Amino acid sequence: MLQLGLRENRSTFSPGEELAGAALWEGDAPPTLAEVRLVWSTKGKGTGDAAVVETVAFADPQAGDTRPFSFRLPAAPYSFSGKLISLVWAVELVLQPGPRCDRREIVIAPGGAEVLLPRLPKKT
Amino acid sequence: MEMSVMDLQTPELTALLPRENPFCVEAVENLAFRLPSGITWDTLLSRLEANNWTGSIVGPNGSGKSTLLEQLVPRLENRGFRPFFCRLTTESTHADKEALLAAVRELRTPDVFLLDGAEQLSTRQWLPLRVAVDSLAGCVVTLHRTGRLPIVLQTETTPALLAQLIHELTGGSSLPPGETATLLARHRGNVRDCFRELYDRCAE
Repeated sequence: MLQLGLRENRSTFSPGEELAGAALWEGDAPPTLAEVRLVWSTKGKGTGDAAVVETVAFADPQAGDTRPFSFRLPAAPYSFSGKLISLVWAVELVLQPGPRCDRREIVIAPGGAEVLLPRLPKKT
Repeated sequence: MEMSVMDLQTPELTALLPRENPFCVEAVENLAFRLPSGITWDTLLSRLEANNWTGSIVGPNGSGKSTLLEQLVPRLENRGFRPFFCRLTTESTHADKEALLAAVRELRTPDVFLLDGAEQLSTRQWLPLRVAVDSLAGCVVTLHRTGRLPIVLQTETTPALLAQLIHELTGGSSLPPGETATLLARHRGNVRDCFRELYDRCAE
């Protein structure tokens, strides 16, 4: 079992804010790797893109463990949705071997509101 | 009442965001390959084993060949092989193909070479590759037409298959009666292109 919890159960943030939380896992044996990643990826039409922006690796993880983590969220890119793609931010807890993963999607944008790109009017 | 994908075009509904669109690339790529009736993964692996783990998956564009080849990887790993997966597309250059041949020449048993898009190789490019894979544990390729390696599976698309995939992607929706067949025919059996059209419909 593994679980990510975000402080105050928040899922929306402004750029530059601190994101804090705790990672919890239980298993039969200590994982060989336990880390939390701040990632973004695109979803929609066409080949997706993704990036790991920052990683917090936990030293000497135990079979059952709870670890705090925090990220200073970047200035960009914003969470957005257009017609073809959405850019989605997420925090992921990754354990190896497995891999086992828990993921929480978040919004990083001014005012914590995903940017919705305007649609161009259809040509007539 | 069964909800139709066409319902998503009604003006009262907000157009779906890309991340919500049931036909986004990520959702489509996570679809499990639907083996033909009567064929199981064990059947397919048995066919490969009977051919010394060498064979081809043949079918038209958008019929799931790439998906099938990708989903073969963990099953080969479970059999103790080391799959080496490569993909050629219409944009692959001569240098890409030369690099591919050089990489294959470095492989050894228990490597199994998996090539998606073998039809991108000319006969002159295919022959040395065919020789190189002889020293490996196996080789499985995808092709549009038969010829280069024994066929282990021919992929095809049907309206029933497309309807099944739409049902899975949308969590239970379907197109109006007859439209699935019309959609598939309009895209000449290419399920991938059907999904692209449905993506656009949901995005409007």
